[in-house]
Amino acid sequence: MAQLTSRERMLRTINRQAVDHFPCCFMSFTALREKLGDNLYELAKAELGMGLDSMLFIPTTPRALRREHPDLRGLPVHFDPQVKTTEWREEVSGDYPLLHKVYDTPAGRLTTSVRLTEDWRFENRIPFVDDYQIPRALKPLITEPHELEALQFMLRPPTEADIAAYREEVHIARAFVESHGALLAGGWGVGMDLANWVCGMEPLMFHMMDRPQFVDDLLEMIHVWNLRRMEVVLSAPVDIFIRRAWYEGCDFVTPGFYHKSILPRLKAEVDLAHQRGARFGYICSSGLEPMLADHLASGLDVLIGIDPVQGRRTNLTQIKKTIGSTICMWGGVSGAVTVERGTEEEVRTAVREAVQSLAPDGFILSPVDNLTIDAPQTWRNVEVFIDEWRRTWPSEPA
Amino acid sequence: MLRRIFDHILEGDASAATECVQQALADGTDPAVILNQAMIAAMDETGRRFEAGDLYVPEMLVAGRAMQSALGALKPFLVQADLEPLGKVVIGTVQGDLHDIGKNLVALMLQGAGFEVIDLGTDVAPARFVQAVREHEPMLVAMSALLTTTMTNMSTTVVALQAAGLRDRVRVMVGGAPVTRQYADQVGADMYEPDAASAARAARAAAKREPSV
Repeated sequence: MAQLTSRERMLRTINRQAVDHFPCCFMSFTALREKLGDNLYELAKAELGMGLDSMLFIPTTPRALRREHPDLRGLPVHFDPQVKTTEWREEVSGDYPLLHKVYDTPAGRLTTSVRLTEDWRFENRIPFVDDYQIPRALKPLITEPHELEALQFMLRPPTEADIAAYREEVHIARAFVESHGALLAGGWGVGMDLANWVCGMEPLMFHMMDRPQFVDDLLEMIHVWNLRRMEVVLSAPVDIFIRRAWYEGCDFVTPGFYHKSILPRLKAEVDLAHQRGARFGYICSSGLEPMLADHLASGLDVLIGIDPVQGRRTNLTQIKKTIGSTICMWGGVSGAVTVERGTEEEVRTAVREAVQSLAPDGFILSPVDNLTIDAPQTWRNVEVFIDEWRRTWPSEPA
Repeated sequence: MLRRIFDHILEGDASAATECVQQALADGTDPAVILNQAMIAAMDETGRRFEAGDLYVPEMLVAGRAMQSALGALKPFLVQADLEPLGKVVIGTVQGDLHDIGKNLVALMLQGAGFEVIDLGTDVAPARFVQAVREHEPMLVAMSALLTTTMTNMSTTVVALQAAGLRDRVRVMVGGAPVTRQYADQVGADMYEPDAASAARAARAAAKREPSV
């Protein structure tokens, strides 16, 4: 087989076609990205330069510019112009200060408060949605069904300016991926993750059990908003559309709820991606096994982020056996525990175990879900990781 | 009636479970029997089903809520009957870590297993764990962490207990997504359990080997 570009290798792997060797593409590499000024073009170039496979994710808006949605990559999140926000800080004797935020919408007021811990990343403001809020929130944004009407004013479709900016970026991105041979990925879609951000994790679980219709209505609102954003992203010929679904495993939802309330919407989003010529990637790193039948039913193409250490119910062999002939698997090694903190031998063993369970067909190797620590041990282990991956290559081209 | 209490807890019906406990007490049922044969049995079954993969976290949470509600109705009668808990457990998420669902689940399951649980909450400094051990004299200290960057405070806490001369007076259990048995050994913990159900089971086994403090 002739030498493939990284893009060809990734696409052929996702499409379950023969490749020269299975790819290794880091699903997220914050430690390197931050060294490169949060520039995703430079990141893709650097990864390809390291001999890794890579993808360019668009829109490339850096995290710092996603003021209201740092953890939701993709198109800007806009509120209705009628929404007014107020924020203030409250000092609390003997405890962390509090940040309060009020959103006044035409359909009523929404409020949230968070504890301003020492590691709070957003100075004296509260983003609309972010992972950091979940454990720090004293009061989540949405607590009652009637508040969904107000939330509607914060989930507005992309503006004409967003669409124009995206189309302009697409030209640059396509030229880049064609010259560098990287996969072009678009996203992020979102579902339960956003529901968790606005409701809080434990309260949302109680809502799911006590008031399932409330959660279903919230998911429908998010889904409709999602589809509009997907339409814009998919107006460009991206290779893969990615949805973040870290909170859609059985650690957070029951399989029954997933089947009833998540699967139908997920399937509609997968269908949309396919209609537009894109594959569909689904990021979920834990609680996978009970959902596998539904993953198959949804038609998704790539399950991203399978973590054999921090993930529960993520038996690599079992997952491969159940869905591996249909769905491509991307992940296989723990980033935080193994690559960032492990010994060289632990890294090599983890790579070998992932390869043994998941390779060769339909498998993209990656640390899961991110490497964030910029430390000598991380970089040494990344070299070891890559070296061990290279040792799996066939000695002669297939 | 005991069967109904059992079923209502398992189903997460807090108000029904509480009403049935009140009815059982009014009928003259021994509070210890209600606790052990209905309520603890229900939480044991919850844990068993969770480990078997037949029950999931949201269902455990509502079962735990039902247990707590029913226990609220039963507690005054337990005190009157001078019934001792199986033991005391101090639990918390370590310093710098604000994640609490895992810790809350373990606390629920421990309570459901018959322990008195002193929940220190999240972001618990080593000194607070030490203070809690001095004050409450638990048989077990349970620590949770969700981040690799915070789980190092498990070691710090163990060291603090040693420095305070308390390490030999408690067993230390650790858990959380990034925690492994190997890591538990490295930090000097006595026990590691991967989930709430097995944590409660292990704590109960440890309590039966040792007299309550």
